[in-house]
Amino acid sequence: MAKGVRDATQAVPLRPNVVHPITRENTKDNTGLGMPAIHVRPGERLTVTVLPKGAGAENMSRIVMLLPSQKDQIPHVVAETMLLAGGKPCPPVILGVGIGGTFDGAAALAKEALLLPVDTMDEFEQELCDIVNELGIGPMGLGGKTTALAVKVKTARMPYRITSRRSQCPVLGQPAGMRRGGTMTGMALCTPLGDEVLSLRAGDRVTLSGRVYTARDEAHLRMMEEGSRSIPGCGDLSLRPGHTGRPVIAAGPTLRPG
Amino acid sequence: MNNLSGFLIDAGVRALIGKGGMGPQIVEQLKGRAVYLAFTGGCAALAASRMKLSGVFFEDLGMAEAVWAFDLDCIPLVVGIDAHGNDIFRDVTMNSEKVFQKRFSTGKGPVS
Repeated sequence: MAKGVRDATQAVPLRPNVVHPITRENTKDNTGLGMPAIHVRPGERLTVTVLPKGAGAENMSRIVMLLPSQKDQIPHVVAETMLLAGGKPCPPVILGVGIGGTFDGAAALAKEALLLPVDTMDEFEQELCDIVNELGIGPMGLGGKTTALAVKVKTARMPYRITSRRSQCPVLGQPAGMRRGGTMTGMALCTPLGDEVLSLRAGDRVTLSGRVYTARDEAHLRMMEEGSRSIPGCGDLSLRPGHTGRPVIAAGPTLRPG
Repeated sequence: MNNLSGFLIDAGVRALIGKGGMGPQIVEQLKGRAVYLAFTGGCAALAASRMKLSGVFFEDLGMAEAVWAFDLDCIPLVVGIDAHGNDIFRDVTMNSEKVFQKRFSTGKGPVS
């Protein structure tokens, strides 16, 4: 399975995301350091189940220890976990809730809950889902009615853990106002940007065209140390206050070579 | 990223693109100068269909951390934080907290 991940990382290609937690050294092939996580269960047949799950959602996982007398507080903990996560796990999410067993067992239950079909929910799962949606966090944390598409629960005994994952849904056609080349509902921005950005208001929908640059933490640090003169069109970000700026994307893309 | 982005705004960058918001420090730093534009996570196929790669810098940092230059064609974005201190993520969070407090600390919720 690790070989499959290595091959896919090269062939697709996938962004290499697995780094040592302390040295931050990247294994460069998405394997090692316990990745991919493989769980084997004894049984008669071999069935392989794959759960693709982004680390952005994984980071929002949480475990809470409740006293036996606190079992009625499970909805509170589920809602609180979503509240703390906010828009970070890219809602709408599917929440997997594991209840009981050992500390690590509860985490495994939460993951297994994510493998359950999400087209139906029992009464308790529906109650949890309604409470989470009441928070109004909405898609991408921009506010709205749908924060969770489903909540799935697996129960054993004692501790308790929640994990969330990115959901996927098919997009059928483009919503009105989002046609390619259209102006949508707001301003059509073009880089380099100037004072027109000052007239925007939070919640406006815009389109952006023209040159942009990506930069994650390492690139930020490099530019702070060395400046960005080596990046044409970017200007020297460390030395030229007040120049007309290109936007910077806080993202690391996955790129197909050539 | 939050602690690292201030110098970009000082240098004149007029827009940051990301997801999930940036925190109060950046909201302050953006005032009168720049905006934060939110892209919808998970819509990478849409983004990819509307951009062309035009260069890479700091390639020694690896694919994930290098600086990539793109030419965009009408990428749809939402203004998450404007140059006047308005922050949609802060507003949504404050509202969620209110709903949460109301449900779980007034005796209405299952906690009571």
